[in-house]
Amino acid sequence: MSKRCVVFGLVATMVAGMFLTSSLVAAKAITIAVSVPRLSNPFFGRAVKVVQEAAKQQGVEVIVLDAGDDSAKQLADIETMIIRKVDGVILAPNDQEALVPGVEKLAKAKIPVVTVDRQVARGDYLAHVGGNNVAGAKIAASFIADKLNGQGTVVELLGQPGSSPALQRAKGFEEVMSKYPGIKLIVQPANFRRSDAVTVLENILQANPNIDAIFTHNEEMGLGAIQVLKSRGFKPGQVIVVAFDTHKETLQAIEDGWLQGNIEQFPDQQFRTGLKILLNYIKAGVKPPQRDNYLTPLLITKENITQSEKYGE
Amino acid sequence: MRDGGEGGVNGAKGEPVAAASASGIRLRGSNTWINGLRRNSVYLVFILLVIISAQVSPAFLTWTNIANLLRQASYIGLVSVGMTFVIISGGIDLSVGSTVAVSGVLLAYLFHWGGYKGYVVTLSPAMPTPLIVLSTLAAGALVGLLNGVLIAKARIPAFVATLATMVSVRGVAYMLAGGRTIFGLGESLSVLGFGNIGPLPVPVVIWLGCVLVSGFILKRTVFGRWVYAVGGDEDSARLSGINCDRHKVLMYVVAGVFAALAGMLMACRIDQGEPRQGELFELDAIAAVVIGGTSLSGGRGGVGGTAIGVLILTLITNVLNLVGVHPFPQQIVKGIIILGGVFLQRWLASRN
Repeated sequence: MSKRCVVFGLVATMVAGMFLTSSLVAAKAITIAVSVPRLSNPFFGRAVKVVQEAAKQQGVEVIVLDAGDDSAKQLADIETMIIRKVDGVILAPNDQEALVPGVEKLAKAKIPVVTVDRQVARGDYLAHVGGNNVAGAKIAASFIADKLNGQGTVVELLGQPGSSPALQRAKGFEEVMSKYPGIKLIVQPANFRRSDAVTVLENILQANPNIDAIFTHNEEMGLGAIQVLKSRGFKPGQVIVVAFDTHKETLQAIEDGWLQGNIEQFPDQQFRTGLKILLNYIKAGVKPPQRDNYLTPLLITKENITQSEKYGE
Repeated sequence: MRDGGEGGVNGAKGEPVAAASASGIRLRGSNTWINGLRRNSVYLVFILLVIISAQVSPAFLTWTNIANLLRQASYIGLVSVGMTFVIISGGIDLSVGSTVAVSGVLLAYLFHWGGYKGYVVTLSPAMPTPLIVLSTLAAGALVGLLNGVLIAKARIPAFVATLATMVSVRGVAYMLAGGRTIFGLGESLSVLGFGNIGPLPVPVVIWLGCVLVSGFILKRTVFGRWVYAVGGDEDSARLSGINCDRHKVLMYVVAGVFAALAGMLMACRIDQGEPRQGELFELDAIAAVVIGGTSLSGGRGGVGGTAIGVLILTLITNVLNLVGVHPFPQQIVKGIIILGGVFLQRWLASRN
């Protein structure tokens, strides 16, 4: 008998759980979905929180979707949201090509979509808000080249293959670096992940013990690189490290002298702006003055650290 | 408890099996409903979940949602068909996710023969499209053959051998793609990614077709009996004259081909070869097989139960998204439902 109770208890819990979660989202005027490539990436984890908080203030319900770095999963999530008839979508596409059909499907269903941070190659989206990745990477490249006086070995750790920030950051960085024949460039993908960066950099150091600078496509890989430098007995500043995107840990690394520069793209502002554009359109049918909006990136160093979005948090 | 034949009958294809087992129950007399449930408990769990889902989300039972759900299930579904063959025959295959990746990338690579130059969409196919498709499937078979030979001939445990190929094959996928994605497969295959046959998406038709054919092979052919025999008791199978080694190798080849088929269809869906595709597919496939009632120690189970297992896993994600549950608690719920399903099955099985 007791076994039977356990089983019925389990089933009842399952049923109750699903009813409970459904009742939480009932009876709200506007519901939007926010879909990001990987929620366990702190950059997107924070972005989602920013959207949730800003939306809450306006009484807007947010459905959070995690693609788990899988374009097919993100497409499937979008399909589900079309059936769910959400009022709008904030999308950070996992891949700039693979998500084009998703954006087109949303357009067909007359659901407005704003892409933030990452972009799709084409398609009928309402707006894009993002950093200027090419410009940011150029700033990083010039900074490194100046510090090295145009001579040395530079490692570039790439973000996730096929994602727009990785492509644009590589483009900007390598464009500037190609002007310096004295700089030897070692390029490897580390997928925006700290653990991947550790492995990749350790392997690179096996073959090239004397590297002079490291540029990483995001802050997670930058922190992974610093971790390796520390464990290999390097001194702070011995190898110049420049990363994209700031957060609490990177600001600390700048103050400690491990990170020389950090490209600030103001992601909080990006996502808030994206939400504002989306809600303006849903509530009042107002389209933004321009479709593609790029915020100017800023190089954060020890000197101007207070200008970072996350300073003092 | 150990009855390979009965376990084999469990959950393959709906009606003839149900009819056969129903007559068996009547002979045994009392407690008939519980015996019926025991045989089909995975279907019961599935129906229960469908009813709950329809309750919590009015959008769930719309045809568009069902078609989407089936398509989302079809890729993992195809991988799981192959996984069922391997697990029934007493093995395990961890390399299927990597095979999904390498086949998708190879497909795109063969369409951009002579080097992929950035984001140019112009194709330079290495050979006619049907041959490209066949080569991709052959690559999956090759991975399977390697697994099979390592396991059956070199006597390396299946877990270790396929773990090794999982890692290496993923590396091949990255190398072929040059560390990026290969975009653009051209028009000829877009029907596989976006087309419909009647009301059903193409990959769903392919998946269901494979489930039916595999179910028939497992239940109604001598070959199928042998699969169960090898997984159930290898020594007896060998003594009764079955070439167990050759059989095992063949099972891994089958798994490789199914994984390659899934990888190809996924690549068509996202119109590119992506070396990271199919990560953790092996775990989803194993979960589906287990939920579907196939024994991890081999010799029992069927593809029908596995298909329902895949549908259960996909349904959970689908309905939790429809309802708007945050992705992190979703994973917890998913784990609990997997456990709940298996407990329910075990409990029903112990009631005879």
